[in-house]
Amino acid sequence: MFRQILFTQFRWTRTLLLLMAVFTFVVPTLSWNLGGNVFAAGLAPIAVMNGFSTVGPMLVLGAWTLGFLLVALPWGADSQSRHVYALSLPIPWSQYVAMRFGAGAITLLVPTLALWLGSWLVVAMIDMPPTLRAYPGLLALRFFLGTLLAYALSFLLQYLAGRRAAVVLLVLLVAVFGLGMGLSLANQHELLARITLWFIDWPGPFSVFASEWRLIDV
Amino acid sequence: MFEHIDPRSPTPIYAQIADRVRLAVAAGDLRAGEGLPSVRALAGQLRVNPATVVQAYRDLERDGLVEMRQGAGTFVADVAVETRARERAAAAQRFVRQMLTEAARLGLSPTDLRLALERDLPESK
Amino acid sequence: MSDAIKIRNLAWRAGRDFAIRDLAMTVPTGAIYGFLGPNGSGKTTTIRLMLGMQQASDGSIEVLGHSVPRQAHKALARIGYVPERLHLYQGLTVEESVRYHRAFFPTFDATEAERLRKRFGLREDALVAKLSKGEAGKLMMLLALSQRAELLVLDEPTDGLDPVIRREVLSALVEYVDGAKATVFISSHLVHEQERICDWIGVMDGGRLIAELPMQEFRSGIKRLRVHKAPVSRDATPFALLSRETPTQHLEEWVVRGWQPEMQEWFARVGAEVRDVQDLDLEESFVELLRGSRVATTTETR
Repeated sequence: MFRQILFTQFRWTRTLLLLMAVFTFVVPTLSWNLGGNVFAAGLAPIAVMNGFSTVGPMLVLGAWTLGFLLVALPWGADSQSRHVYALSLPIPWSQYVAMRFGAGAITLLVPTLALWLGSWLVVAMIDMPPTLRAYPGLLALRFFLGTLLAYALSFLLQYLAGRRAAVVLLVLLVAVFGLGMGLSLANQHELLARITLWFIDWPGPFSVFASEWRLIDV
Repeated sequence: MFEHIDPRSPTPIYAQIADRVRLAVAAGDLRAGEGLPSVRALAGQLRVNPATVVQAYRDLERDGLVEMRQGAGTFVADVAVETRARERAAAAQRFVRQMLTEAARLGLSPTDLRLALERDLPESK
Repeated sequence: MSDAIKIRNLAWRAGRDFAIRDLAMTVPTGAIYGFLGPNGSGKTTTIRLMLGMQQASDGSIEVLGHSVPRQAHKALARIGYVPERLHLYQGLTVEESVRYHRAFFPTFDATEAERLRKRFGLREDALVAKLSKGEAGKLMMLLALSQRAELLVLDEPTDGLDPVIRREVLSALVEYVDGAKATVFISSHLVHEQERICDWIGVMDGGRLIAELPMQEFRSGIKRLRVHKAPVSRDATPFALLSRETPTQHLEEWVVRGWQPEMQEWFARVGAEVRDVQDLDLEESFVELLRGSRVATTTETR
């Protein structure tokens, strides 16, 4: 049953997944290009580091786009028949939704693996000084969690009917607004600072997006 | 044999099916031992409820015109010559009654009918 | 458990214009139940409520012994459903659609599906989005029949199909019913089709079930009488008078429901005479029934 759900999920999103995989594979290699040191013999880690600060936000954007489209495409296929097919299957709606969510989450691995491979390739070409370290695995993990978060939020909004989706949206807006307020007021109130930090510091729910995404760090 | 079964006719469909078989047996078109189509095949062909075909076959069996053999199907029984003659007479009678009802509805008198019949019957020419 | 579907005082409302009120329905196990009604009378809504795809505001629904919507998924495992419009995924091929469907229904018979696919002349690699209306109809029927379901719920399964395909689909349905002894609930506004196949009839109009009875009774109970010297009063008739017309000066045509030959006596008592008793076919009966019920409703509300 789940295999068929996964199969259809893949069928509806394969073009998107392929494009995203190409994108995430290329992004790390772009970083040394943008570092301005392409044809120099041996890649300078500093150049890659600098370059990555430019392409890092592209990954964040990519994560949100992917998370959103990964929900929208299957939803579109189901809503073409006003969900008659899904509703007439002999499983509870909650189980159907859970399987659709799981299938989408699994397909996130495709661009994640591509990112990991791309990063690994770049790292392999760098002469790394002992003071710096590369984190291709962690970067990929971070991308995966970021996409998963975006995907989950978008999924929640799409699959909750009307009014409930509005409530979730409202809570989200309050949370984001609250975080902004919290950040600006954090130096005046200790409690506020703690709450804000809980959200954006690891392992808080928004921590994956909070700081800069880096391939190479100290 | 089963063409033009008319679901809109006041005669129920099962009776129409049975009548066709009766006539075919009476006319000698169906011979003793010959098989009738299976319930499923005939229901499928006519797009009627299988129960309707079963009812038609049951009626025919009750009148001794067919035999339903368990698992094998339905076969035309060995019908005596007199029975066949009787069936033909009965079929003709049914036909005439139908015609009379219809004629009455159209306002035709029995005399009108008799004249028309005599004009068209071959031996009266 | 002798009833495949049992609905009691069902209520549902959409806006101000349409509502299902106090609907009761009983579909006996093994019946081929024709669900008749003009477009917009609430047939599809009733079916969606019956399958737990929409929530009723009141009433109880039991399908194959399962309470709906709470246990709808258990009932659905035993139901072959063909909706009004194509519900399958456009992006899959015929073969992929069969495989997808099969994964969800425990009783699905892949051999039967293959046999029907060949019989219906559907290509394995044809994309659902590219199928003609007739082919799509055949594919939906193929899936429903291959489930080996105990109950088939068919919502206008032949609507918009050409006569050749309609025949193919109905033949396959009838053959399945004979083999599987399944119950069939078939909604349609094509009365002649129902007339051949069904042994039970339910008539829906304006969100209400205005009649439910065996086909034989439906057919034999509604008659057109030609009455000479008809009485003016229509009170205390032993039958229900659906309509009354005066085509000529001396004769009136009455369409009545619940007619028995003995009722001729009633006319004799009021000094009238029944000249002729005519049978109506299902379509005429259906039209007269609707007319009668609508007249009754308007006089009620006045």
